[in-house]
Amino acid sequence: MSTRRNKFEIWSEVMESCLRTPRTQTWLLREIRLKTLVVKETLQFLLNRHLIEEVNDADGIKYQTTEKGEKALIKYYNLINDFFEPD
Amino acid sequence: MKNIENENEDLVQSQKSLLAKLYKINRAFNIHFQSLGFFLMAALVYSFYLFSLFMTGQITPTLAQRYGVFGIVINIIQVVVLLIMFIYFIYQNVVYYSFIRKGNRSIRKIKESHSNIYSFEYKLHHGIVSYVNNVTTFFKRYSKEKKNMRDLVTIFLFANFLFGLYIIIIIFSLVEIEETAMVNSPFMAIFFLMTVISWLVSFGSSFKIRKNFIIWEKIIPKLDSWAQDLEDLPSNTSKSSEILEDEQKKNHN
Repeated sequence: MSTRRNKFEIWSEVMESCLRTPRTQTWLLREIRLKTLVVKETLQFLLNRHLIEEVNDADGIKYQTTEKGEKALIKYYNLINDFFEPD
Repeated sequence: MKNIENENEDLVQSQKSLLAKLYKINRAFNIHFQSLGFFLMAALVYSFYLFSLFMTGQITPTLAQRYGVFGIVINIIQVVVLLIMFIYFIYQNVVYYSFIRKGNRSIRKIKESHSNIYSFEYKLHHGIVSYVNNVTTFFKRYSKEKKNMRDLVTIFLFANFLFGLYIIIIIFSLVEIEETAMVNSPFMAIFFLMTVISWLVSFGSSFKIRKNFIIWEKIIPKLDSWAQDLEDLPSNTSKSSEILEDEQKKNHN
């Protein structure tokens, strides 16, 4: 099995990083440690599905998770939550 | 507006619930790793001590005295088993350490993110996904097609029990040597008690670790299907292909 990151790992990490706090592409590159092309592809994929949106800022273009993206993240969290015993 | 508030509430709630579970899992791994580490250290101390007693002539291998060549063979087997045990314990510690190091880093990141002004305002945490990703990376590294993590941890569990028992027997054999006054000292008695406790804790926590691994093994394919759901969402491809265009321009140049 390859140790390269899966799609769900990258998408979920980008969406969580952009949750309520808009992030630049450079910030994502640095924090998530991905290749430029992978970040660009990921951003485009998420933008096309309206899971994130572009926010124009004084610092340039930033990306923020949309309501739809938040719902997808809630589903992600709950999916893991459901497997573990309740607190 | 009310809808957004509810959405925020759901998000905070689901993060809070998951985070509590991740803390619990991380604590279980830390306890297991620490007890395993202490036991390994104690086993090393006892082995060196036994070896030094043997080298200074304070003890003589009784089996060799009683049974001659057969006794020597048994003594060699004992030492070989001990060496295998150490290698196995060290391997186990390396496996768990790689998990714990990444897990602790993610937990620290989550805590730091919460003190961030934006996150604090929304009561949100960043880094939960990073923790999950560390788990999946760990599984990818150690899971083989024929031997998955569940089997590996089951082997660890039985090996811990058997090797632990072996070490305890060796320590008992030390106590039986009357001429070594140091082994009967209160310090050694406390050390022995701590060794037994760490062995029991590491053995007990192995069950919890195994249970957690079984759960994660079930979760990972579900996360793949979550990604598939995202892929199946209607796509607006006409929008913003500029991101990739920049890259293509660079490549052309």
